[in-house]
Amino acid sequence: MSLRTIVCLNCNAAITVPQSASIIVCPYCGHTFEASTGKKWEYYMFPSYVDSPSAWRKAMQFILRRYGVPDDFNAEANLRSAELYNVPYHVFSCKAYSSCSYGGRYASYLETRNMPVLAAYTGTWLDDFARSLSFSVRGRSFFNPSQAQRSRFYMPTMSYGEAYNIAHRFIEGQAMAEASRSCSGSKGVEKIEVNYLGLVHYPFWLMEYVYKNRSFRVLLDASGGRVLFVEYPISRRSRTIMLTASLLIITVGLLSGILLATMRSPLSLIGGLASSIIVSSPMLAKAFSLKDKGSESPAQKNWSRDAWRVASPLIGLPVPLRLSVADLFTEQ
Amino acid sequence: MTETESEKVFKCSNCGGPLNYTPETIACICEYCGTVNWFSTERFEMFVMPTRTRDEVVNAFWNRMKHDPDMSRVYGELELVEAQGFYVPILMGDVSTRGEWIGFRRITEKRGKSYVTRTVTERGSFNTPLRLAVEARREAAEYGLQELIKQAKSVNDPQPLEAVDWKKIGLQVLNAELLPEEAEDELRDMAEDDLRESIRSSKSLDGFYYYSCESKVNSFWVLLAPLWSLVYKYRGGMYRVSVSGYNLQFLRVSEPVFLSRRILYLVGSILTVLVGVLLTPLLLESLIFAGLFILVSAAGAFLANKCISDVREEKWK
Repeated sequence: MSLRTIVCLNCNAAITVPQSASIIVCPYCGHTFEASTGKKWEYYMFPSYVDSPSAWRKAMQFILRRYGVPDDFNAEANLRSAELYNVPYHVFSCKAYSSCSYGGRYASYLETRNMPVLAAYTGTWLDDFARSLSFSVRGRSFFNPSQAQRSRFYMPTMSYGEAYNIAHRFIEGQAMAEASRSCSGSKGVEKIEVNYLGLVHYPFWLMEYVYKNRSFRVLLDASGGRVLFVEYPISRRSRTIMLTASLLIITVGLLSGILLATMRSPLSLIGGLASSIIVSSPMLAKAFSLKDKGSESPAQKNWSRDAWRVASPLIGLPVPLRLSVADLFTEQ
Repeated sequence: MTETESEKVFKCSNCGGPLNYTPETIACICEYCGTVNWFSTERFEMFVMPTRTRDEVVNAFWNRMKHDPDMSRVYGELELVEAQGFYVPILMGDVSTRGEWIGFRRITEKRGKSYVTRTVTERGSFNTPLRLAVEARREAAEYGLQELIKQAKSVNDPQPLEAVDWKKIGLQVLNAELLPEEAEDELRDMAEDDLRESIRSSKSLDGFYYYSCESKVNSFWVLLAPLWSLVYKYRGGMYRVSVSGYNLQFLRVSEPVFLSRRILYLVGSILTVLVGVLLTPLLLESLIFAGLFILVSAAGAFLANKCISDVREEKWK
């Protein structure tokens, strides 16, 4: 990445920033201005409430409750690195009206959302998580020089205009999805308002630890204290237990399939095998994975929702709450 | 020296104490004298759900653990690490709604030997007042917050701000971040969505041909609700509990999964395999059985996943 040096318009500090930085936040005084025009910019920061030892402690305590963690984990896992990342977001408050007409009737719908747009990529695996972050309940505050200086402090490389367009497209999609959920007639988006709430930095702890010469990653929300992602080893004993349980499930499926195949339909054998493999799949996946992963954010139960989505029309049950075909195309 | 952006200090209009002011603050309650300092020309009415003390919350926690069939067996091994409370602003609103809908439902029936699916159209109208609640902060997440919001809807005796002795409470009060205009939009958006989904589920609809909802926000106010967040340790692992300070209701509790329960989940998943096998001869007869087969297998996978999961969560409903 090519760099350049810019002088802060408030405190005269020399700041090294990426060539593509669109807005400059001075890490010494917090003065924030547009790189091309020098115009002062609305800027805030989410405070980091968690320091590095407590971030590591939280991660350890989270991992220790997971199933299959080796007994000697507490004694053998050692923190190799912990770095605080401050990642910029352009934040918008969006509002859109959509409308629909059906058989001479007319209806309009309102959709409101707050939308943080990730304004710089760190080039690390953090980016995947940073993109879909829900903010801490404790909220944003003013610039804090020590948090900025003791961290990897990223300048936004995405311009305000680009971020605005993303927010605009997002709320437009949401408004259309809302109309699709409500009405099958001809639809359109009538009016969109996107208000800028400013640039914010959000803090993350990116950590790496070593267990028996293998390294594992940890990501923690430094403002809300949530464990966003961990990797951890699985003990040989737990793998054996999970494999045995899977084998038990598959054996039951096979035996009962064979039994019913001889009595009624040969299809039962295939059904028994298919059903037992589906049922044991979570255990098999975990038993054969090199590292297991976990997160404290709401569990990702997408596969069960997908199964429901596929099965419900077949049985004639309604698709569950807030799930419709429109969601498939508009989900973030 | 040049002043940094962070050096702005906001003081209480009554006692001059430093305020916990953040950029989105609309109203800020002084921690020292309890005065409400307004930072917005438009104002919300504000009410408070009274909170129990920290000791009462901690006692309720230990009491629950003592009487919980699973947790009581390991009661001596539990260690309470953290008990922290804060007041979360919840936006409450009374909204009147009016509208009509035309929806459809697919019905599959057996005719002779084959199954036939037909679509039934239903229509209706509504004219309903709603009481809605949503967090008055942007994009915020916290363990148990959604359950607390649900509870806040049914609170009948909120107190005015002045009636509360803030010095005695000593809880951090998070600021409301929504402007009144945004609050109104948020409530209207929510009214539209909530009504549509409640019609959809109560009438078992598969979708809408048409749905309209005109909503009017008659009044809205901010209710400060006490959320207590507890962390306890069991064999090195950390578990979270959130409690409503209002009535000591457990909003969300995470508990370790014990061996007995894991075995139960495993037996359950084996049973789903057996049901799946029994369904297979019927698969060719109708798509209904194919759907059931998928559902039963997914339920089995869900149980197998629970069998190797780390926590069991209980939510207040």
